[in-house]
Amino acid sequence: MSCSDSDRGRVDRAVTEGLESGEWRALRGHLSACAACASEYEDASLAVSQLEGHAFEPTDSAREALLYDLLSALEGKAAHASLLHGTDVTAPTSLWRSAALVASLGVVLVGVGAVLVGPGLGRSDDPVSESGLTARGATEASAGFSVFCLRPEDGSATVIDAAESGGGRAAACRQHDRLQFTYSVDARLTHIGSLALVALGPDGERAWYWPRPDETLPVSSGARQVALPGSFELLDRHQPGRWTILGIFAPASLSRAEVEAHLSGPELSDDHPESWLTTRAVVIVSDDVVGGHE
Amino acid sequence: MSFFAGEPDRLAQFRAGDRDVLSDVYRHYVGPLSRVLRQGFSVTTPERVLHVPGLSSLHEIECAGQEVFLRAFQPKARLGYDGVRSFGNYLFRIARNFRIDEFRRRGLVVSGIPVEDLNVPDAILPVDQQLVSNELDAMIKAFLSIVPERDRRYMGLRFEGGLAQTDAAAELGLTRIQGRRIEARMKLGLLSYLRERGYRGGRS
Repeated sequence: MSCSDSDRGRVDRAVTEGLESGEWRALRGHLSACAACASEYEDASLAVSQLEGHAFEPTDSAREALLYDLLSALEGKAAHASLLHGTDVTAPTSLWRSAALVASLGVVLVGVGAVLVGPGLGRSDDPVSESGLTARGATEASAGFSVFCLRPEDGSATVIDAAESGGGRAAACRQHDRLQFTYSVDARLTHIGSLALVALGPDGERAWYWPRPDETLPVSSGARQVALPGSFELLDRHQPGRWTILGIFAPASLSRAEVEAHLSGPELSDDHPESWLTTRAVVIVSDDVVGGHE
Repeated sequence: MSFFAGEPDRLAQFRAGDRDVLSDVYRHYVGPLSRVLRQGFSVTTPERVLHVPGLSSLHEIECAGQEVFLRAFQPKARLGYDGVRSFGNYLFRIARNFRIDEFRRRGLVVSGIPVEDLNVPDAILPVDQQLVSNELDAMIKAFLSIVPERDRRYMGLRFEGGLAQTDAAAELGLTRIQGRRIEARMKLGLLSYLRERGYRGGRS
């Protein structure tokens, strides 16, 4: 696998003259998913930083772009601009380990959607319905998750789209894409210790991500955009349509039965039980017509 | 010496989250922090010495550095810095804790970590990186030898003389925009030059 000419061009511009903010963030996401382009970035950065007199450090243009992202994050302009490094995230395969890096970057949705949406796949601006659960808005959310739609290509994976829990737009994915998650928990929520993730399909069917039958998902307060291990293929059971992914943060590990009881409760709400926090994101799954995985 | 030594106003602005001061701090420390993240840390516990390995790719280093700065620039962290201790060491401790947190997330137990200061890493590169740097330096010199005189002089003023774009351009009777274009053209030209010669960075 090699870095395409257009991606290499973006890499070169990133380390020499700089990119616009959205393109820069999209490139950062791509670098985490594409080893070939990451190597190009490494080589180009090394050469230019050496020319600039500070070898093995970020180039001048990269510094300025990173600084811009940093200040934006501090000022709350990009709630998820936190670029949490995630190289140590455990994932099933190297392919998805790379994808975990993408997720852990907390790529800003605008940047991802604007640049990485594949051919034939439109962005979904489908607003999240407010029926059923009362989703916590991004500004109110004290705990939440992001879901990234990844498409395997040539041994790597490209971020196709993403959605934030409590956000206003859905992520558009195709069957056989893969989902990956990051989570954040406000440091003040010291009682939070686990996360359950389950998707509700168009006909009310369930797709369980966490807990797995033999594995729970501990989380930590104060975490920001921490990538969850592994990724989940949108298999055929993810029928086309709207899938609402619920993230349930709770003090202790939850069993599926407990989550199911919560989902089936007569008055499902964010604050039931009191110490649980429920938030959600929407993924629109389309037929795998273009992908040819049949 | 601390970046804030003898600068009470600067410290106050930093604590207040002044954008310009945060930018100055970032630009001052991003290089040393990158070196720290690349070389890794040694942590002495009562039982053993644990080495937290450095990061190898610049992309990883940039991501980690971003997180470290984000933590250091949070209001609580800004107020927690006294202005007397070395800010570099303060930053590097955050970096070390960040890396150790990552190890803990992987289930590796790190206990009894002392809070000794870390030193600003030496500017001297490790041997392997020095070899790469030397080779690259020779290729850059060769590239600069074949570019137009004006462009070569501009680059010398910028990166050997340490002048800002505006000043380097002014030395040559150019506008900043013209200088910036020269710089971008030279950098892109260097990358093409290196690729044509099979340059692969430090990779075989």
